[in-house]
Formats: sequence, structure tokens, C-alpha cells
Amino acid sequence: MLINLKKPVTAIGVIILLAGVISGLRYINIMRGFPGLPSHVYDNLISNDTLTRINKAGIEIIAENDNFTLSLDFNSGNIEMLHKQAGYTWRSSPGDADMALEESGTLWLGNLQSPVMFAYADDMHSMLTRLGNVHNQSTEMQVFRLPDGGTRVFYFFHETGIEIGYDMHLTKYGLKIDVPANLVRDNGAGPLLTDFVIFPFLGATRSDTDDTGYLFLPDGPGALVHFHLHRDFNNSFVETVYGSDLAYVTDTGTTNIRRFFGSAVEFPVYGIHRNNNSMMVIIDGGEGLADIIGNPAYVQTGFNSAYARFSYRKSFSVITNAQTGEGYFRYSDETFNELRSLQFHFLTGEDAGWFAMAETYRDYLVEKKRLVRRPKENIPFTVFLTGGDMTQATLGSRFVPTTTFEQASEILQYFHDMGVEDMVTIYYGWQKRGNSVRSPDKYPAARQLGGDRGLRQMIVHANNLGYSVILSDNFSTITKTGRGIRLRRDTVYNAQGFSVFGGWHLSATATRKMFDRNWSRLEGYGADGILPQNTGRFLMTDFNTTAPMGRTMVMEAIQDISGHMQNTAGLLYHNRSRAFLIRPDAVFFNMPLEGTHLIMLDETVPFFPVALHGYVKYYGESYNDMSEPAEELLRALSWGALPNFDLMYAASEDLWVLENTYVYNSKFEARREEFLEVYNRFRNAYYLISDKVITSYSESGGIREVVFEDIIIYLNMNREEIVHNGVIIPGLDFIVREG
Amino acid sequence: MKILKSNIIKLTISVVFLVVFAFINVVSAIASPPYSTYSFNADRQPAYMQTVYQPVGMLGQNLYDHTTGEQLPGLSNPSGIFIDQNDRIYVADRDNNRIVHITSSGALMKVYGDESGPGVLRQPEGVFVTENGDVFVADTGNNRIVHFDAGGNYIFSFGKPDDIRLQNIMFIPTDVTMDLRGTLLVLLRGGSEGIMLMSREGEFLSFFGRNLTPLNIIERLLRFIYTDEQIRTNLNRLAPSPSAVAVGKDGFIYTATQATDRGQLKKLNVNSEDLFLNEDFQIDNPYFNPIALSAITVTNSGMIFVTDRSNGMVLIHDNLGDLQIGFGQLLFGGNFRVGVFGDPVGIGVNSRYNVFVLDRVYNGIHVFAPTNFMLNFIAGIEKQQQGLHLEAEENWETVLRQNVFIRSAHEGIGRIRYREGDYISAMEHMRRAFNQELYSAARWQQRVIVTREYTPVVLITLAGVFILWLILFKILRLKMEPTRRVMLGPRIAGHLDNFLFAAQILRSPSDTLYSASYEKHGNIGTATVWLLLYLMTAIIATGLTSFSFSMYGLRGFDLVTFLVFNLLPVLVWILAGYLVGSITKGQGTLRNIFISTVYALMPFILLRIPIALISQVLTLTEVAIYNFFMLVMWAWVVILQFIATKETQGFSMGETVKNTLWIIFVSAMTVLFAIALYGIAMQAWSFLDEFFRELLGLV
Repeated sequence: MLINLKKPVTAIGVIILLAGVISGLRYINIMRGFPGLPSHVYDNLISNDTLTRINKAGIEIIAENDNFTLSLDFNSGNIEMLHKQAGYTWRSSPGDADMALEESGTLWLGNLQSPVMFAYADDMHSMLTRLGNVHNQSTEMQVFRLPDGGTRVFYFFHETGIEIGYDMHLTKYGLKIDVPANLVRDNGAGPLLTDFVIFPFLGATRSDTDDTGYLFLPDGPGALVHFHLHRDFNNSFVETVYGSDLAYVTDTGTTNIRRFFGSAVEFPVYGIHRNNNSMMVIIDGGEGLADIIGNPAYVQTGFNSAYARFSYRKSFSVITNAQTGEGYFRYSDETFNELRSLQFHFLTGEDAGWFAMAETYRDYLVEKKRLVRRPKENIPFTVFLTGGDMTQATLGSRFVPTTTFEQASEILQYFHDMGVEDMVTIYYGWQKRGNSVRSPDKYPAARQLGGDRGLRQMIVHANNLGYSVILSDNFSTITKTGRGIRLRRDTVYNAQGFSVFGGWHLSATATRKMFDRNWSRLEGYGADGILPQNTGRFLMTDFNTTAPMGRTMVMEAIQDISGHMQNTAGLLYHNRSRAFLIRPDAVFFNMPLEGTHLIMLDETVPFFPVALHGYVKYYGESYNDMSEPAEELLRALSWGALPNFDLMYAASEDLWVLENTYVYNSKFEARREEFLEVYNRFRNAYYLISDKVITSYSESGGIREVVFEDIIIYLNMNREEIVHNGVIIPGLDFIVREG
Repeated sequence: MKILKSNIIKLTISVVFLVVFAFINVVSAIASPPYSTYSFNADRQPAYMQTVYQPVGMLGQNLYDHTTGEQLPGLSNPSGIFIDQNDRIYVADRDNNRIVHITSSGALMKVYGDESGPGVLRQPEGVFVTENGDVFVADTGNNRIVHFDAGGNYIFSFGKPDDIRLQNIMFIPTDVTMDLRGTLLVLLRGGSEGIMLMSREGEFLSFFGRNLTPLNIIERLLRFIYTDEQIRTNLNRLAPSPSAVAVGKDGFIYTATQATDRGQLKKLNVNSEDLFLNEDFQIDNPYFNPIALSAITVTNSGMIFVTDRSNGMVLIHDNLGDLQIGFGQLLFGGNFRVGVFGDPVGIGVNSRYNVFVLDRVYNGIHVFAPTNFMLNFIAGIEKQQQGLHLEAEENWETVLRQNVFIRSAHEGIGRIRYREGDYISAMEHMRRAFNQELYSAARWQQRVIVTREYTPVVLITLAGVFILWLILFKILRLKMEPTRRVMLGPRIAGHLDNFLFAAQILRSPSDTLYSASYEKHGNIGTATVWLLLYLMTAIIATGLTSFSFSMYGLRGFDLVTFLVFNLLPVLVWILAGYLVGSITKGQGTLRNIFISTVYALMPFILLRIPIALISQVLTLTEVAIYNFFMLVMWAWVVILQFIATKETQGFSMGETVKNTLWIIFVSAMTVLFAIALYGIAMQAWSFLDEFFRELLGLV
């Protein structure tokens, strides 16, 4: 034999064996003793044993106040809510006359007449779920009186061993439903509870009666689905509040994860409007676990309905082959033991539509988030500057400066010379490695841009001109470990026990730690505020064994961190407008001004802007990204969303790497006049409405009439000039009327 | 090797892409349509751009008779759409056995297909309407073509023509259209012969636009070996039939084909020749599936709109078949949105450039309206096509102000600058348009100017240098050798001598190689330095080569890929040479073979950079010169390698030939073996990975 093969073969064998042992240990280590998702510690959990039971039969009034009377059917658990002023009764199950028209099968007839609807799976691996309700589960119902006067309804579903209960309180606005963590349970082995709905058909309406109205759904800024007789193309609105929980999307290698990024419900509200009455529901607790579902008539049943479906246990795919994404289906062992709350607001009157709902939601936010009216203020010329970024180079990668600190000063000086009094600059990519921010290794400020000193000088220069500078930084995602960041300890883990995004997403705890550690550096630059990139963008259950957290806890932790950041850094800007991030004085970018074009939706309405304007400062899409600037600028004004611009000193086409980002043309020299012109065109209008709430909104024939208290703005969305109420409005233009 | 290379590049890009796509989009647009829009560079690599087609709504899910207000069933499994000159929309509504005519706003105007009699349609899949309203239907279920008049009256139908040439052909028409001369073009299901040309009366004329049969390497090899009989029985692969056909205003026939990896889009002349040269239209990005073009339409100005059902996109090509813009998204789950395509099977563009995409999953038509940006883009292309280059300037400027990555706009502006005589600016725009030909043309003009201006200066300088050289070396008889020795000291000078000795290979290859191997004139260190020089030369030359000859230069340079294609072959060659030599009793040691192989790369090291520099002043018209230089360089390297083998191993001529062939063979085997080993290692890893994941799942 030419060569002795024995040794190499043995060597290869040993190497493979070692690799096997090492990887085996690694995997076992990952899953070693997952402590389980922690529940909130609720001091006030009331167990049924301590309560007095009410034994009655038939429909009885159980609570009453000045506005409402609440009755409970002690046989089925359904409720009737009488709105005294309107003389209108809201029912959790449609009335007999409506039910007589229904053509559904037994299951859905049962669901329609049930106050609770839930889904369950037969075992850990059964992908198919069944629906349960009080009629098909040999249900036992118990009613208790709560110490504070509320009523608890509790169901044992004997067929499956599942238990669901909730507490009802009558309030001045309507009804509050709480589902405390201890009232929802399955036996953990047998049929498994996956999700449940309380009062799925409260306010449900038929289309084949004479009712007119619509479902209000939280798509984009808000959307309506009118009651139609015919829907040839039937489907439901099913969206997760604040987007999908990516911790349960385990096959990241083969799934295009981007498709989960876009869709999002940014505020947990839905409603039904019927003739002169409407019901608006705010998910006040556990919204991170909720899907909002809107069913137009003839999709599931003959009724138009909208409800919140709460997850109890989620499923995921156990990936066995990371390359092909093969795996098997199972439910998570972890259940969500959180408080879930719903506020049912009942409105009445001629104008009890979506606008009144938005005003109600505004009141809710003002109270809950302690918002205060914004002062009347000049609207700053708001510019995103990009410092630089990494690009591929001959050997490895190379930093490409796009706006040095000196150039930034020059840009600011230019606008100052052009008479801009107030300007906010959000500086991206000023760090060592630019826009891609190789967290945690990102300080000092890029040498090629002028280093720490240059940055400080630039900020001083800006402040001398009366301008403020906001530094963008990233405390939530990393591109490498080290510098006190450890993959195992600090990143978010998915349901299967692997890092999501390959370990790029920091846990809430680590985010806070990262911010605290970085603050000393950031503080030294003297910036007026910060924009934390990606904070609050992805809400994921965290299965990291060191500090596991449910989605609600993550949400609360991020709220906490935002508060902490704001208290520490001064101004806080978010690049995503989300209800849970709202806090006094926080500023938001990218307010959704367009629906997501779901075919089942009929109309987009500015619900979210109406709820926020006057209390929260928010911006629309960047001017550079607009596809039809002339129209989109008007839409932004009509909804009170401020304009903003992207700028960089270098020409974007020279930057190879930036071709894949959203930079289309931001060259300072090419666009500065245009940007100024846009800013000056709208400045005064925004100034006038800066401290006002939207008090009325109407649109017809492409003319929008938006009333901000004593200011009226008429906008002509048509290309042609139009005379409206004796006022000539040029095409694609607007007119402001005071008083 | 090309495949490997593209895979490595894709891998690299995918990593970069993942990072970029997932996290850098700091100001990601939320208030935007539910789909992305991309611009494409010359290699069909996508980059995000702003929305150019806005979602308007969906037609056809509800159909109301515009006169009676009566509701008719909506579209059901529709499969063909046609938009005529007057923006009337016709849909082949397959499962409702009818053709519906609707307006751009969705009002139902007319239904074709009778209740009884010969005009009853069965699962029609295609429709075409002439200028005067005659309707031709591909009545798929009835295996015939039906002709209705504008009033919807049945006129005439015909099935499979009675022709001896069609014996083995199944006549199942799926679409029908008409060329400018009035000939019907009929697409047949499984029509591997291509499009069937028929007269309006149903006479068979000929087949047209047959696709090539896709064969893989092994099949190609077998075809070479097999007899005709064996080919017929064993290699009976059919050519894919075109999935859609359209006729341009210029009379060219455009086809789209799904199951093929080249020539997905074709522009055919009367002789059935593809003006797009059977090009590959694949999108070059790992996040995109291989394209499957399902429908096609051509605008008056020759822009080609196609639907890609595997990526759920509308792809917009300019009149030269160059992919410019794409938009859309593939449907996932039940989130039905305009522009999120389920199965796009038809496309039409009306006179206002609204795009209508027929979707079988939605049973409806997605409607899109062009933005102002897009209208400018289209106007630019249109004017350019009519030769009104200067008039297009304003359009192109508008486009570029909003997005600087639009190639057509750069090309348009570049043409204008060229006409204006601003060649430098023209060159810059052409570089950004990735257009080597026009860049080259501008370079030519620029060169004329430069030559005129600088010729005297250059000549005088050259003369000066020559005189200086004469004075220093010929008249004063200055000697380099002793000077060097004094300046550097004998040790370093010795190394330098050794190093420079290698260059003598150019003058006397055999002697040099022999003495390098056997007379201690060469050593490993020197050879290594030359090898590094070789690699540096390759990098520098890539960067220095003119845009006319190398589109990307060093952009997107990746060191690993570079080493795989430049260093690895050399090392494999050396190893193979050694192995072969040791079996065939060659005298070369590994050291000697290494030294001589590297020395034999000398022509490359010395000539590659000058050639790159020369390319800077050459234009595409002189590509022959460039290629000649390159050929000489490579031929020289090959010859030297041959001599190197001969001298190092001490072979005779015949032995050398035989051994060289063996070395080539062994090199190829080494590469194959390495790939196989890599594959096995990956399999082993994924087996272990899977094993432990499963184990964990069971715990």
C-alpha cells in the first residue's frame, strides 16, 4: 500500500466522535433545567374558595349605575348591558330574532350563544384545534360575589377539564372584564387550552337586517369594515397586537422572517358601530397575548363581530434539521399566566362613530399614561443625518464616511443662514462602525468623522445655533458578543432553546444594562436626547434560562427602560409609533398613515392620530421615502404628523452597501433647497395646530376638513382646484382658517 | 466552477443581506404598501426603492351588471386577462365557463359564452380581442378556439387542424393572441413544439418559438455517447412550453416560460430568433426563488411587464429586456392584500399605465396605479425609444432626484451629456448605468480630446526620458550592479539577485527553470515572495482595469473567493504535479515544483498590470487588442508551465505531454474529491445536529 490509511481514518473517527460529544453537551446545556416562564406576582389573586357564591336562575340584574344596568343569565352566563340614556341593550349573545336568521351548524350556533369560546388541542402534538363553548362541554357554571361589588363567573368545562373564569365590574363607561391568572387552567396533559375569548359575540350584528354600521379594526392608523350584504371574497381580520411573537418562529433559517416585520397592530383597540350606538374595546391588560379578530358577516357566521383572542399556550415547530427547516409540531410547555383585561366602552348618539371612539381612547391614554397637553411650539426642521457605514472592501470591510461632524456643522450652518430657527438633527451612524452599529463595540465616535472631539464640537455648534441634536444608538440588538455581553446570558432565546436571530437580540435586562453602561459615554457628547434603535420593535417571549420572561413582562420591562432612558437622557425619540411606548414627552417617528391594504377592509381612518394629537408629538414617514410626496405631505398634515427628511453629505450612489438600505437620494447639495421649501410650506400650519387636539374630521370628494379646536384646515387631495364652502383650494394644496 | 463561484458569492451576499435587511433599516417605512419595491442593477441584484406602483384595489370579486345592477357570481379560478386599446378588460373566467368584459373600475359590461348551442364555453383559459371587438377564446375544455363578434354572437370555432404534421400533437389551447398580420398564435398545453401559428380560419401554418430542451451535464454527456435510438428512448426530455405570449407594437413576439433556467423571457423575430439571446433572467439574490414567469404584456413603447408566480412579483423590463424594477410579495397565510400575490396568472397594462394582475387565489384582479415617479420613468423610456433623447432629460432628472440608483435614468442622462459633448459626465452616468458600451463610446471621445491636447507634452517627456537614459547609461556608462552591491551590502544584494534571477525566465526559460531547480538559484523564500506578488498583481490589476472591460472592478471583492480562484488552483497544480511526478519517476521534489511553478507565473506578474493600465485608454471597439494581450500573457504562462514540468522533472518532450495531461486529470480529481469530502462533512454535521435536536425534543 502506498500510504498507511489506518492512522488518518482513526484520527477522523476520533475528531467526529469529539465533535459529537461537544455538540451533544452544548445542546443539553441549552435546555438544562428551564425554570419556566415566571408569572407576575399578584398579591391580590382571589381564589373562589374565599368568595360567596350566588345561586340564582334565569336573567337577573347583578349591577347598576347611573348609566348602565348589567344583567346576567345564570343559566348560560350571557350578559345584557342596558345603556340607559340610549335605551339600547348590548347582548353577549344575539337576540332570538337575529338567531332565527342564522344558518350556521351546531358548533357555531353554540359559539354564538356562549359567553366564552376557547380552542383546545387533544394532545401536545395535535396541530388541529377544536372549539369549545358552554354548550358543547358539559359545562358547570358558578357565580360569585366579589368583595368590591363585582361579579365573578367561573366555568368548569367537564368535557376537557379546562377551567375559565372572569371578573366583571360595571364602570361609568361600561364594563370591565378581568381574567386573573388563577382563573384559567387546563390539566397540562389531556386536552390543552390554546386560546380563549370572552364575549366573542358581544355587539354582533347581522347584515341582513336593516342595521347600518361597521367594525372598527386597528389596521394601520385605524380601519373600518362596513356591514355588507354580500362578500364574495370572505376572510377575517386576524392580527397579533404588536406583531408576531418571534420566539415561536423557530425555523428562522428557512423562513423569510421579514414577512413578520411589517404587519402590526400598534394600538390594542377594536369596536363595533351600529346605528347610533357603538362599543369600543380597549385591551387594558395582557394585550401582548392578544390577537384582534374581525369577522364580517358570512365569514364565520351571519354576524359581523370583533373580539380579542388571548393566547394561553402557543405552538412552535421543533426544528430537527436547521438546513432544511424540517421539524415536528408541538405546543409549548409554558403557559401564559397573566392578567388579561378588557374595557368595554359603550357610546351613543349621532356621532358615536370611530371619531368618538378615538376621543374615548384619547381620554383613556391621557389618564393611564398621565399625558399632558403639548405647548404651542415652533415645529423644528427635523433631519436624519447618516454619519457613515461599513462597506465591503478589498480586505474585509471599510468605513465609508457619509457626513463628517464638520460637514454636519456645515449643514446646520447652512440651514441657519437660510433662516431656520428651530432644528432637530437625529444623528445615525456616528459610532465607530457607523450605521450598522456593531454593538457593543461602537465607541468612540468614528475617527473618520472627527472622533469624540468632533462630535462634541458639532453638538456645541448646534446648540449655539439654538438647534438640538439627538444621537441614535442601539441598545437592543448586537452583532457580536464581548465587552460584557454574553450570548448565553444576555440574548433572547426562542421556544426551542436557541437564540433568536442567531443571538442578535438582547433581552430586556441586557438592554437596560447596555444603556446604563453606554450612558457615561453618551452623556459626554452633550446630546439633547437619544433615539434607541429597535427598542420595542420586537416583542418576544424570552426563553433564556437565566431570566425567562413572558411577553407582557418584556413589554413592561421595555416601558420601564424607556422611562429610565427618558429620565436619564432628556429627550426620547422612538422610531416606531406603538401604544405601549407612549409616555409624556416621548416623540415618535413613523406614525402609520396608511392601512396595510387588506382586501377585507373598506376604509382607512385616522383613529390613532386623532387619539394622540395635542398630547403626543409624532412624525410621519420620511420625505425621502414618500412615493407620492405631493399627496403624502397633505395626508400627513391632515393627520397632524410632522415632516422629516434624510440627509447625508456624500452622494448615495457612491455607497455600494447603502444600496440595500432605504437610502434613495439624500445628498445634501442635491436636495437642500427642496427640503427647505417643503418645511417652510407647512411650518406655520403645524405651528398653529401644535397644541390642539383634533375635534372634528370629515372628508368628501377629496376635500378634507380637519378641525383642530379653533383652527380649520381644508385640504384638497385632488389635482384640480376646487371651491369648497366658498373657499378656493388649489389642487393638492391646503388652506388654514383660524377662529 | 461557475456554479461554485456563484454559490460562494451568494453565501457572502446572503450574510450581508441578512444583516442589512434585518437591522439596518432604521427608518424603515411603515406607512407603505404591504409589498416591497426593488430596483435592479445590471446583474439583476435587487435593492429597495420607494413604491412606484400604489395599490388601488381589487376587481372581479364582486361583479355587478352595470345596467341592471344585478349581481353575478364573481370570478372563479380565472386564468387569462386581456386589455384592449380602449382599456376594456376581458377575463377568461375559467370555472364559470365564460369570458367577462369589465371596465377599469370593475363594472361588468358583457359576458361572452352562450347558455346553449355551439357558443357554450368549457373552462376557457385565454382570450384575445381585436381592434374592432372580435373576441377569440382559447376554449380549453373543448379543445378549440372560438370566435365571437363584438356583440357577443358566436361566429365560428375550430379545433385541431387536419394536418399530417400534427399527428402527435394534442390540441389543448390555453391562450390565444394575434400578431400584426392577423395570424393567430395559439399556446398549447404541453406544447413542447412551441407556439402554434394558425390563420384566422383555423388552418395550421407552422410552429414558432420552440424552447430548448434543458439538459443537465450528465444528460449532455450521454447524448454525446448514446446512439440515436438510445437518445429517443432514454433521453426523451421535452422542451418546456411557453407559459405566455404577447405581441409588441413593433411586431416582435414576446414569450415567457416557467420551467427553464435560461431564456425565461424571449423576444422573437419572424425567424424565431431570440433577440435576448437566450439570456438568464434569474434574480441574483439568495432571498428570491428561481423565477417562474407566468404572464406577459408589452406596452406600446416596448416595456415588458411580466408576473413571477414563485416570488409573487411584477417585474418591469425596459424595451431592451433589461430588468429595471420589480414589486410585489408572495401571499403567506390568510392576509389577503392588494399586491400580495397568491398565484398571479395574468397581467395587463392599460393606456394610463395602470397595472392589472389577475390572481387565481384571490379570484380577482389586483389594480395598481403608477406614481408620478413611475410616470416619469415610463415617459423617459418612451421618449428615448422614439429617439427624443433630449426631451427625456426632465423626466430622468425627476427620477434621479428621488432615487439615484435607477440605471435607465443614468443612461438617459448619460446619452444627453454625450450629445452635449460633456464626455466626462457621460462616462460617470454610464458607469452608474452599468453600460459598458456607451461608457466606452464616451471614453473614445474623451480620449480624442485628451490625445489632441497632450500628445506634444507626452512626446517631449518621452524624448527627455530617452535622452536622460542615453546620457546616464550609454554615455556615462553607469553600472547598476556595483552601485547596488555597495548600497545594500552583499547579503541583501544576494537575496535581491536571487529574487531578480526569476525574471530571467522570460528570456531563457529552460535554463532559468533548470538552474532554479538544481543550481540553488531559487529558494522557497524567493518563490513565496513571487507568489505573493502574483496575488497582489491579480488584485491590483482587477482594480485598475477599465470599466469598459470589468464592470465591478473591486466592488464586492471578497478575499476568500479571491483566494479560492487564484491561489488554490496554483497549489492544487503543484500538488498534482508532485503526485504524478512521484509515480512516473520524475525527479522534481515538492520544493522544486513549487519554485518552478511560481516562476512560470512570471508573465502574469509582469504583464497583467500594464495590460490593466492599457485597458484604461482602450474602448470596447478595441476589445480585440485587450483580448490579444491577455491571450499572449496566458499562452506564455501555459508554455512556461509546460517547460517547468519538463525541466523540473527531467522529462523528455513526449513524457512531459503525457504527464501534463495526467496532472490536469489529477488536479480535477483533487477538486472533486475535496468537494465530495466537504459534502460528506456537512452531511455528518447535519446528522449530528439533527440527532441531538431530536433527542432534546423527546426529553
